[in-house]
Order: sequence, then structure tokens, then C-alpha cells
Amino acid sequence: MSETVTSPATDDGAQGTDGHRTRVPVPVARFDDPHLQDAARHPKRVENIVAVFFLLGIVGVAGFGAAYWVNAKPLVLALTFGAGLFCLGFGLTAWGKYLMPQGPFVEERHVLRSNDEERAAMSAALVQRTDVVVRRRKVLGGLLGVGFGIFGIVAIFPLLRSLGPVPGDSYDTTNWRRNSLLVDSNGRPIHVDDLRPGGIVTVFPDGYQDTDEGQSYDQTVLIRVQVTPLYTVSNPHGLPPDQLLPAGRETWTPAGYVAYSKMCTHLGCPVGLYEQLLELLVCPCHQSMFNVRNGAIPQFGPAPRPLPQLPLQLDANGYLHAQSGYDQAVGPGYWERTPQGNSTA
Amino acid sequence: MLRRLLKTRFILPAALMATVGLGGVLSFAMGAGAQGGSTGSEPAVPSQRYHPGQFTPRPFTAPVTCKGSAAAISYPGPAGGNGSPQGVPTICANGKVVVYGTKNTIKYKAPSSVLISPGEAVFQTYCASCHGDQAQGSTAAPNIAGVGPAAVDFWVSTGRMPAATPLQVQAQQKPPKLNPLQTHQVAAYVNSLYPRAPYIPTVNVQAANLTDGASLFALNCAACHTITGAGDELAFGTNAPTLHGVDATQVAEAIRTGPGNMPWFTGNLSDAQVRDIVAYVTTNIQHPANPGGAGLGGVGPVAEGFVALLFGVGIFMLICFWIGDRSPS
Repeated sequence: MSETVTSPATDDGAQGTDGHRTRVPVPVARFDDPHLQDAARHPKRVENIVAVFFLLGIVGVAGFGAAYWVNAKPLVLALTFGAGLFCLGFGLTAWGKYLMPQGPFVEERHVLRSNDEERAAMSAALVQRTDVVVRRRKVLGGLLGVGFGIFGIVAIFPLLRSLGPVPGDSYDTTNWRRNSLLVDSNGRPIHVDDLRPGGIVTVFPDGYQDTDEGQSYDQTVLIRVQVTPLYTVSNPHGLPPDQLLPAGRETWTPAGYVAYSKMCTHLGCPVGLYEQLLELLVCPCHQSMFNVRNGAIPQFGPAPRPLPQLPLQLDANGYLHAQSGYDQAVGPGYWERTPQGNSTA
Repeated sequence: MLRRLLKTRFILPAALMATVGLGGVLSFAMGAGAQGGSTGSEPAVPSQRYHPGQFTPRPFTAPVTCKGSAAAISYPGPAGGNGSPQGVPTICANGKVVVYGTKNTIKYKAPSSVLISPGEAVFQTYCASCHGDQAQGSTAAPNIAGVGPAAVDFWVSTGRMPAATPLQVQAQQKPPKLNPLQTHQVAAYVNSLYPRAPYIPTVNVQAANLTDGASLFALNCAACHTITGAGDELAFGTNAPTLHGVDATQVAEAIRTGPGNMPWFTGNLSDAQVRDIVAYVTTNIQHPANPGGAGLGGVGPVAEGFVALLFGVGIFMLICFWIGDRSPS
């Protein structure tokens, strides 16, 4: 049966005799709708600009291809690639913003709400089906639960086994031992005449200069301090207390040589900056400054502890050896570190 | 026009970008200025161990017998030692100028003795007012008798001496006041007061091994001067200067004489190793290939991060504003 065209705004669907709803046609937007025009006020000018950007983009990406083929410098590759893609993207965005109809468009719709009989029938059907539907899915739900449960347990396994070896007490000692020979990074032993006062060299225990441990926590700076030697308890020149080594280190500094661990006690950076007139060892990372005359006590910066000092001795030929290992663990603090140190070397 | 500009949606992010950019550029400029200029007329903090007048000539461990030619001079020191100038050849009693070192690595030559008397005149004019007429030092300047001609040549040819003021914490490099001839004359005169090495080096950079130079630079020099040689600020007003703008001789002199707070790299670096470091500095440090793009002064992640955040993220932010902005209807 034919339908009558009625005004869409006021009708919510007439009931036909067979119980179905009738669809009321909605009006189509007219082609002279002002919202269909281009967004830009001067679309021809905008089109020219977008065309220029597209041309630049073509030049850019083609230029990138040519530059890539002739192995041009990375700067050239980056500029052509970036400029080319940027121009293409800019033009595309401008096209979408300024040369497309922006709307707004209002589309009329018929009323969406179902009538009361349909709603009642739907509710009744849902309630009727509920038991059957859920009960049928119990097996699946159970299987899914078992799967996820096992996954949850298995996900903990990497935390238990794959986090790497527990350090244990490996941080407590270095490879410095009693009578270790001091060598530089080329394996050459250090003689007492090698450094002038004010000189610094990085040393390792003999045999470890090329190893990972040597590079990490065996590394030691050897400094020959300026004119006066270092004093601890005996203080013939009357130096102020902040320029005396701690007590008990009288024999640790032969011929003005002093050795400290190169690992900063803050976060482990190698402390390589030595200012010979200020007699300061500066760490480059966070600017902790250690005074080399009084046992590397930090004078500034975030380091919490002095650098451990390596006791030195000279052999009969004038080569430098270590009297023993460090008396405490080197480097930054860690949970198991005891205040007096764990080293037993 | 300005009113229309202020009414756009871009004005806030554009103003933010301009502020950040200006602030960043100003801080870089001030940081670079602090690097080059010397500030701080107050004396160093109490931990400064340097006292003018305390600088005494250092006696060396063993005298050297003067022979007829340079090749016959032997260096005292450990057998198989690397030839460091710890045991120092002096100008011999017969007045012959001594040359030591090898042509393949570094040749050290004392300035000619004919330069001594004009050097005395130059010294009295420019140096004696602070250093004393016998270079013995005063309250304003250290005793420089016995530092050797290489040290004098380094300080004067880099312009650090004559110092602008004796009160600064660290003498900064500036255009040299004495021309090269006068520099050698002053070096000859100071050397004549108390003859000591190291002499003025001539480095054979052609024979250098740049790979060794790079690893030695990283081990010994990069801590203070940074891995790109851009220089760095250190403790209490001192700084490690930039390695750009110095020539091979000055680099070798600095390594061998340990100027100021720089350590003395003597026995632990042989002449071949110093040659390698000097060659690395004058090539890769001073003329970096920069394969990754613009070097931005070799300052490092701060400069690069600044550029990336300001231009990269900032421009993206502006573009996002533009894309999402409402179109004119």
C-alpha cells in the first residue's frame, strides 16, 4: 500500500495495517546549501598554495631518492626526507581543511524509539533465554579461567629465575691483593720516577688491565702530589687538620704517591679529573670533589663517603706495588654493604 | 594586523616557544661567555694549594752527561723506560743548544742562545712587573725560573700571559700579545736563568696513529676536556679550556708541562703516545666529521635536546593546533 508523504518533523511513524512501521523519507540536502561550499574564502588561492607545497614535496622525496642513491651525507638525507614529507602532509591537511565542505550537515532521522509492544516482547524473550544461554557457556568460562590462571602463575617465573645472578659478596673485594704490581692500561709497570709531582695515571692490578673487572671496579687513580709529602699523625709543617691523612696510613704514600679507587662513591662514575694545584679529584658526572691530601674526603657534591685508598709500597727496583687490597668495598653503596667494609683481601 | 594575530589560537603556544627559545639561547650564550671570560676577582677558596712565590725549581733525579751531538744523550730512568723527560738534559756548559727526542715522534729544541739578550728586554718590559726581574716571583705571580722554555712558550703563545690581571683564578686564552719571535726570546731568557727542559716540541703528526690517539685521549683527556674537546667548567672558578684554536705545538707543550691545574703527563705517556694524542686533537677534535649532522658546538645532549624539544616538539605542537583548529565557515 502506498504511503503518504508527511512532514518529517512531526510524524513518528504511522502504523500500517500489517503491523510494520512505515519509513518516512527524509529530505536530501540541497546542492545550494551554503554548508557545502569550500571552507576557504578564496579557494583558488588556497588551491595554488597547496599545489606549490605538493610540488615542493615531490622535489623533496625525489631528492631524497637521489641523495640516497649517491650516498649523500645524513644531513642531506634528513633534510630532503623531512622537507618532502612535511610539504606533502601540509598540503594534504590544507586540502582537507580549506578545500573540502566543512558542514555542519544536519541529517534528519526518523524517531528511533521502538513502540511499546516491541519492547515488551523483547524483554520477555531475554528473560526466557537467559538460563539456557549462560548455562551453555559454563564450560567455556571454566576453561578460560584455568588458562588465565596458569598464565598468571607462569608470568612470575622470569622474576624468579631470569633476573641475573645475585651479586652476593662479589662487590666486596677487588682484584688488588697483597703485593699486586701497579700497571697502566698498556700493562706497563709504574716506576717511582715516572710521574712528576702533579701527575696522574690510571692503574690496574697486573694482569687485569684488559678485563671487565679491571675496567669497572679495579681501576685506581695514582697521583703524585705536589711539593710536600702527605702526613697523617706526625705533622712537622703544622698543616691544618683537613690536609692530613687519616691516622694509621703513615706508610701508605711512599715518595708522595697516593692511590684512590677511581669509582665514585656516589654512583660509580670514573673520577678522572685531577686539578693539580687545588689537589682535588673531581667526578665529571655530578661534580663530587675529593681532597687527595686527606684521604679523598668529599668537599663538595653528592658523594657520601671518601674514596677508598689503596696502600702503596716500593720494591727494591723502585716499582710501585699495593700493600694489600682495599680495606672496604669500592664504589657506590649497596644494601648489604657494612659501614666498616666487607673486604678481606 | 597585530590584533588579528593576537586573536588566533596559536598565540599561546607560539609565545611559549619564543620564551623557551630565548631563554635557552641566552643561557647558552652566558655559559659560553663564562667559559671564555674570566670572572671572579676574589682569590680562590681556602683549598687552593697554590701560593705565589712557593713555586720552586724542581731538581731532577740524575744529571745528564753532555755529549757532542743530541743522539748521544741518554735519559736517566728505568731501563726500557719510555723516554719521558723526567731526567732532563740541560744546556751544556759549552753553551751548545741541545736537541732531544726523535724525528719520528717529537723533537724538543731549546731556543737559540742569540735570543737571550733581546729576550731579557722583552721580559723586563712585559713580565718583570709581576714575576720579578730575575723571574723569582712575587705576591702576584709565581717563581717561573726553571719551568723550561716549553712552558713559557705555551703560556705566552696562547695569550694567557701577559695576564690581564693577576687576581683572576685562572688565566684565560686570549689573542697573544707577543709575536712569535718575542715569545721565543722570552723563552730563551727564562731558560737561561735556570736551564731546564722540556724544550719546545715539534710534533711529527704525519707518523701518528690516530686510533691509539683516540683511545689515549678518551682515557686521559676526555674527563676534563670532554670527549669532543669542547672544554668544561671545573671546581672553584677554574675551567678546562676548549681544544679548538690551539696548534700541535701548544697541545704537546700543555701535555708535557701541565699548565695550571692540568696534571703533568710525563712518565706515563711516551713521546709516541703524546704525538698520537696531538694528532688526534688537531684532526678529529678540531675538524670533526660530524656524520650525524650539525655538531651544535659539541656540547652534547643538552644542546641537542634543546633543539629537538624546541623545534621538533614545538613545531609539532603548533601543527596539531592548526590541524584541529576550527575552519573558517
